[in-house]
Amino acid sequence: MSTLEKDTEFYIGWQAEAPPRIARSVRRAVLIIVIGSVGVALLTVLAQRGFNTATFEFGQTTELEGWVTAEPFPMLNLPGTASRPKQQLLLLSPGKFGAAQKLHEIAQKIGQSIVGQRVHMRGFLIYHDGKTAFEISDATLLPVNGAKTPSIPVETIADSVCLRGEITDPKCLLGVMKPSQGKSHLDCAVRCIAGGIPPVLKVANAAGVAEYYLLIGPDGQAINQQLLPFVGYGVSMQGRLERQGDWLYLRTNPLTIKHFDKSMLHITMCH
Amino acid sequence: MSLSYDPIHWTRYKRRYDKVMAAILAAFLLLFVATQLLFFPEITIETLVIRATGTLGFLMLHVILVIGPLCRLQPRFLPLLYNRRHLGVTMFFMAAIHGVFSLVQFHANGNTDWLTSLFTSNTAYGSVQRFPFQSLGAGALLILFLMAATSHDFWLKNLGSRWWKWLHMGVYLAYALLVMHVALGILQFEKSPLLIGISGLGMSMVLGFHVAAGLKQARADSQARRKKVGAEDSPFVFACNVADIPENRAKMLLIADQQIAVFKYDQRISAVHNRCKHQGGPLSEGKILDGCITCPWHGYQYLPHNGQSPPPFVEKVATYAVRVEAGKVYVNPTPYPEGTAQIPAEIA
Repeated sequence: MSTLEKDTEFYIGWQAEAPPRIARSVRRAVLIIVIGSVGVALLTVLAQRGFNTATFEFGQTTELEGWVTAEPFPMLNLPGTASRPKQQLLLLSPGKFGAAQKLHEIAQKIGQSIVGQRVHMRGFLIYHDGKTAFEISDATLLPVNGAKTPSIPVETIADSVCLRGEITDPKCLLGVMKPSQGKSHLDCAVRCIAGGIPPVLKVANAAGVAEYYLLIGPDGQAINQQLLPFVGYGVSMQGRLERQGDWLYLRTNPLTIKHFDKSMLHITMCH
Repeated sequence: MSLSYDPIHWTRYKRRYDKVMAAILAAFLLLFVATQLLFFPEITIETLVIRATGTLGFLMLHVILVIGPLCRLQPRFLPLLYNRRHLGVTMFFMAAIHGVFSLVQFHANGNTDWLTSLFTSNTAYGSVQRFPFQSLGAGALLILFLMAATSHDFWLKNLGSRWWKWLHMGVYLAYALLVMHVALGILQFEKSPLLIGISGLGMSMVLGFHVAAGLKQARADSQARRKKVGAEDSPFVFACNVADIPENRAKMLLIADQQIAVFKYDQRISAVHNRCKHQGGPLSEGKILDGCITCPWHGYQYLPHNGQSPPPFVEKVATYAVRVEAGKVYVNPTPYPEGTAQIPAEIA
């Protein structure tokens, strides 16, 4: 005898009430769905690897005064004060664009370039791990009173190093997006770097201590397009290591870049 | 059943179904967000929305896919099936929020339009490790959109139940795409054994219920199959004993390519085609209510002697000639045109 034959109850949705046994079965099924949903909600959250403390102060405007330099990447150079050392903020445009777009827009608006000039700039801070970027909202020129654009000295740390890490974009990495690395962020990092945001190599050791290297070509030229196939994956790359102000730079030939197993990226230096 | 196309033909049951569904969804989202903010307060609001709606949508799809075979295994759960389209449309909206937030987050405000970005930012289609998993999600979302947009009796009527059913079987393709979307996306990124385990359990449930329901159906079909025996000049085939059919219920027969529901009611036997004109529900699992065969899926009704829905409704199913001799039921498996009246066989 089939289940149906044993079961004399029958319910159609347009009836006001379900027969008792059917109603009881449905209530049990709903209870199981509720318990399962609670379990899935809790476990899927708790199983995540978590997020870092990187910060994007979106909507919280900061006003700064400093000098704008453009090489190798646009920076806002803040003079040191008694309470704060000199600082170089990596400049960025809104959206997935490097600073060039916004600097051009401001130049059109005020009738001259602000590169090499002292400016009052408004925008949003983005910071993490001691590195700071600044998304420009607008800027106005300030009088220079005979002062000259500060020259930030370039210090060569090593003529040739080989580093292992992941290429991504500093805007997301420093706080705009979480997660800002790996496969789930890959498409966004490609879009950002294709849009002129300076590429960065994040190198982290087994303890999670990270350093960030802005990537430029051997002659200081932008290599964003050549790096796109490597974005979001483990790579090893060679080049000359330099420091300029707060930032480290790796002058590298894109032809030397190799894919590398991400599980081995904690071995940060290659030979 | 309805003569006109209301956006939603509300009943008391549907309202209760939707209230319970809304309460469970709200509780899930609240719990997900609260747990997230408690344990991982550094998360961005965009990522929170993407993960909460993605997880909920995928969970809902599992529930939707399990309801069908669950009802095949145990008809007492049929009330869960009755309003499943509301569950499906709501699941699409969850998936759409997940998809739109992801598109804006990862592809908008860049140096190319978001659609081009979606399919060109990562083109490693030949690599499992690097496969562009977002395109899989986009494909699934397109299928779910087509299903949600046509999830109404207007489209069922105008597309025809065969094409409509074919379109809505696309849910299995969407599910396969989403399984790969999840496996090659968040599971590959998080590498959490717990997340892999939860996803594996979900897939096993969907697969297990479908296999169990399929086996049950195969057994039922085997028992229902009848071959023509006896006099060559008689078109009638032995179906079953009268006593094998419960009162106001039916026995399903498979003769040649015909699925036939043989009903017993009021000391009479009548036979109609087993598939409801609405969504192909199994009429043989229905019941005679108020003198009408009532489909167990959505309550569409037909008169047993002529296969016609009672006026003013217009649905019709094919009918078959029946005979009762010495307590045995015989059916002529050649169908009469839909809605053709037959003289019910009297049970002596």
